Amino acid sequence: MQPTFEVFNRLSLLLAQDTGSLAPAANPPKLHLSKQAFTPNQNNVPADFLEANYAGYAAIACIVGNQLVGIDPLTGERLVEMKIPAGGWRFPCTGLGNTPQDIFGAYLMNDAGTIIYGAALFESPLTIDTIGQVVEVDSVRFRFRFSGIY
Amino acid sequence: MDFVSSTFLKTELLVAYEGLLVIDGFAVNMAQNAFAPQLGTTLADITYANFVGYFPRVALGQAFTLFRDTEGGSYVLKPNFEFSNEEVEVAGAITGPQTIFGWLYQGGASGTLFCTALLPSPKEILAQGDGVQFPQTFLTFSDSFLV
Repeated sequence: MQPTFEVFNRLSLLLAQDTGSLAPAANPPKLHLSKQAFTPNQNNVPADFLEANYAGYAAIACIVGNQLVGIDPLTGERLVEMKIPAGGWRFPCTGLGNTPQDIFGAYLMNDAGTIIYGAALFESPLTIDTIGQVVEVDSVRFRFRFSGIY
Repeated sequence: MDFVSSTFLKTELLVAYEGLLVIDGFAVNMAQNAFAPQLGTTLADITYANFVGYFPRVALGQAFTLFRDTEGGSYVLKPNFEFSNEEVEVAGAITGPQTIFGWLYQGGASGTLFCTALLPSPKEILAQGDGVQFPQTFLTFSDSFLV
């Protein structure tokens, strides 16, 4: 059947408020960087990634509770976006330990580090080899495809 | 930056959606006007059938079943009970033919229009005993519905 916009509105709101994944009241998911090449896909598991470990790096905890919903103004697709924590999704390098290090992308995992929620690659790997360099993720977003429901 | 969602996240979401549908319930109606199923379709685009004996199939608090089509890899959501006969029949004499073009699911409590579909070809209701049959699949979610 052909779904209406309402189906997508409800799905995006449900996901943004899902306490079993993106929106727990405590122990929120964390955003990590991977220093290992990977292919983002729905079957990703924690073993597909190797967490960055350059000096200054630390995974960033998401904000607890409901996340954001929105509509892409270009496509109309419904979006769920993780709230940006204080200081942003910034991973600065503060020392030369474990450098140079190539960073391939980011992945979102539950607090316990056992379940992958999503992953994304940077356009090209970023080489960290200088104090002051920053890996920055502009947003952590999930997108509902109109063509994916029928 | 768009993240590729995991199977866990999709399943978690669809189970939650299933729960929402149970709370809302649903009604299945037939449409007697030609319409084009699309994302922006609203109830204002639909004229309900009204032939003798017609009534919407309504279910409140009924569960849906979510299952994974292992062959195609998609998730299918459908009511886990059968309508009386998946068929809407004319129960008495009617004064004129009525053409049925499609059917729709809407929320039982909210009245929200969830989805619409056309019959393979319009079905003309002419006399007592005529009926229209419709499949029960509600929605199918491919792997790419959430990326």
